[in-house]
Amino acid sequence: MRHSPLRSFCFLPLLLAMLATAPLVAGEPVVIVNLQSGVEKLTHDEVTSLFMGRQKRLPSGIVALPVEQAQPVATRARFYQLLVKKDLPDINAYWARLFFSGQAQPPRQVNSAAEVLELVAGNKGAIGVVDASLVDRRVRVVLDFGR
Amino acid sequence: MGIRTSKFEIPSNAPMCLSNGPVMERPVSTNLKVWVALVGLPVMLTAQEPDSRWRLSGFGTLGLASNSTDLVEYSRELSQPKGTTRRLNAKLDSRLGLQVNVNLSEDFSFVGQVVSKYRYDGTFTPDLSWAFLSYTPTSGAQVRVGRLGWDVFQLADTRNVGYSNLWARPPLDFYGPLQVSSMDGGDIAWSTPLGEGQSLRLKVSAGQVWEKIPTSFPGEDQELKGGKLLGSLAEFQGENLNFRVAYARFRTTRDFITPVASLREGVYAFALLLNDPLLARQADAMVFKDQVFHYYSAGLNWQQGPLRIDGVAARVNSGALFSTLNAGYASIGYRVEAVVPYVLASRIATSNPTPYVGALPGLGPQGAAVAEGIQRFLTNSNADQKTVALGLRWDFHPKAALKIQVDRVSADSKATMLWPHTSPGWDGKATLASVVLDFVF
Repeated sequence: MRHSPLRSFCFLPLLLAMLATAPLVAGEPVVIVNLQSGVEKLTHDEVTSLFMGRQKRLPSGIVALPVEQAQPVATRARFYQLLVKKDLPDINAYWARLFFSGQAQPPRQVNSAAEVLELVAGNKGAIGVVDASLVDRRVRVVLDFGR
Repeated sequence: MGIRTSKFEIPSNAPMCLSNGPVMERPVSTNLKVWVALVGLPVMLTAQEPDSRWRLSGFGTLGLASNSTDLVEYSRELSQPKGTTRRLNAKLDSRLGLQVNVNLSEDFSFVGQVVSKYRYDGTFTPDLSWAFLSYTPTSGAQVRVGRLGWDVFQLADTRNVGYSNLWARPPLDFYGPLQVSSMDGGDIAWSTPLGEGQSLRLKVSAGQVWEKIPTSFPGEDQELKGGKLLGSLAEFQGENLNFRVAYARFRTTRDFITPVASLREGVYAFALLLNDPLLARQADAMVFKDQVFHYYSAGLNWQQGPLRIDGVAARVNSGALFSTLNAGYASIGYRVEAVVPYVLASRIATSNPTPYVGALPGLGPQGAAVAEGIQRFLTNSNADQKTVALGLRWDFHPKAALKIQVDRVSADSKATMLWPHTSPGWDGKATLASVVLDFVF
């Protein structure tokens, strides 16, 4: 799952081509959890339930802390397209409804993939989404969105 | 739908009603103080950051609307004592809400919300709309105790959060008659996944009403406090489809305001005098205390790609006196980038019995006045109208949306439940143009 920096260099021309058309052809987003979460795998459904506020705990029973990368906006948009095939304005309106009727709290927002990794690495219940190429040994991949 | 509040309104034009005089505005300073306190609150809270236990957020709407006629006032809910005429009106839709979330532990949290909007007494005095303790015993369950929104229909508990809705405002013909918006009590919700992106949510609730609504008698607000609410709903959530059925009931514990109660006693007196049992039954129909209203509703929301369709139907029955209220709406929207043009059609009709006045009109001025009072009461208890609206929602910012909407209402001008004031000569038509800016923060 993890890509070493060296390997990336070998594909420099390809990488540059990808960057040119980013973010549409960004790398594979994967769902990550904390190593102590007690979770090895999650289904797409389970991830949807957690990120849409319908379920509040990981399957292991630990209270979930969904974390999303709000910036750049295209990254967030791509995540919700993959998750529930919805546009951001619809997601924002959905959360306004749930949040202001006291049903659930939206995912914690951070502004970079590094912050997602940090929060997931430091909180047992945290669950987040980052590009596969950024995953390190502090976290565990439980779902590959590309598959 | 709480109640067909309209009944309370009837008195507005009743003979004993001397005027539809304006409700006294509270001194501005009172509002100012409340606002200073509310604005001060966030400052205090942010000072305690950065730990994430506290969260202060809010929502609001700035709206402007204008009606095509001065013969009828357009209001958005029964709690608004005055409506919109041709003059530009900012009170119809404008509102501001502040919410504080406090995570007390992993399983317990507190939510408090105040909303300032144009309310029954003509002021923007903030009301505590939500204040509850939430407990999450399992992954999909939630138990809440305190002041809670009453979600009798689809969007009933988020009517103030304009940003969460597609349209400029929830359709008047459907949400307009609902005068109860929240309750003091508790609810239990349970959600379970069904596989393949689907889930089922069940909820039951019970509580007491704390609100009141205006009448056209100056200083006479209809008290609803103490009314008993019970509710239940089942909601299916699929990948594209959301389907919801609900049943709720409301038992009133208060009588009508004095002017209506005295009108009723007058009708009873005449029934006795004339020995007319039908007239006595007419008087029975003007009792409000211990009425039970039953609310049935079913609705769906379908979102696939750029297309979104909403449809909701509801029926309200009351056990004894007032008959049935039927209402529904349907909406189609199509997203083009950040803009969603939409069409919204809604309809409401009541089927109250024809008023019975017997020999009253021939009994001199007093009898005639009581007969007219009965007629007005029924007129104001009835609604029979439909609306077609065209609009656009533009999400120009991640936390704000601009909407423009034009509503064309066709009403039976003799069924005035939803109109705070109508003038003679109104043909039942009205066109409302609105611009609203909805935001969250």
